Amino acid sequence: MQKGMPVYVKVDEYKDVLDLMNMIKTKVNDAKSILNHLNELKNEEDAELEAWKLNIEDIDKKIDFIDTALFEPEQY
Amino acid sequence: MVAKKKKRKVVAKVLPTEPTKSFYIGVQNPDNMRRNILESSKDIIGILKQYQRIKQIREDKREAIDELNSAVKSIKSGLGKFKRILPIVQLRERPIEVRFEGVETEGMITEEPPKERSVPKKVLSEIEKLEAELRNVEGKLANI
Repeated sequence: MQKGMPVYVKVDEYKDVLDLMNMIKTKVNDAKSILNHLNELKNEEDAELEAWKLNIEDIDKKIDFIDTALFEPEQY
Repeated sequence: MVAKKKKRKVVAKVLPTEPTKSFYIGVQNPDNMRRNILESSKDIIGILKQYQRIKQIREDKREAIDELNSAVKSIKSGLGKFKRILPIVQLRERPIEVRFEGVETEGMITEEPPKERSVPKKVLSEIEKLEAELRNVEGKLANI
């Protein structure tokens, strides 16, 4: 068969093809929505990690202040 | 005559007790320090809460990835069925004729492509199988 020639599908299989196409389309949409959800979760996780980092930095500053106040009291 | 050793009573010497010396360091701003300690405790509790949230997010992510994997597998199987339903046809490319002016191609000795060496089969990993499948599909695409 040459390139570009049409391909014919049996009529009895045509319905199966349509059903299959619908199933594939549904699954692709599902995959797209799951990916969106994953992206949201990733952003949420990034935000939590960023807040975590800020909290740790805050604690570090406070501990540093306490440490300095206790071990180098002349400064205060 | 062997002289007997006299047993001496060992009496523990009691040292005169000295009053323990205590040193104190003045904390100039105790309220501030107390506030800092309490705030640090509060922050630590906040961090533990954040940890629980991150744990939950990761669990949700794992579930979503499993769902995605299952959806992709369904798509793959659907496409496989689709391929089976479509009739198998042998696509043939039109031969490309290359002609050089004044050169006769008939009767010329053409070089045969070197035969591929047989490579011993090895157990393919999942990624290698997918790569082989990808190459196969790309080969078919190039022929269309």
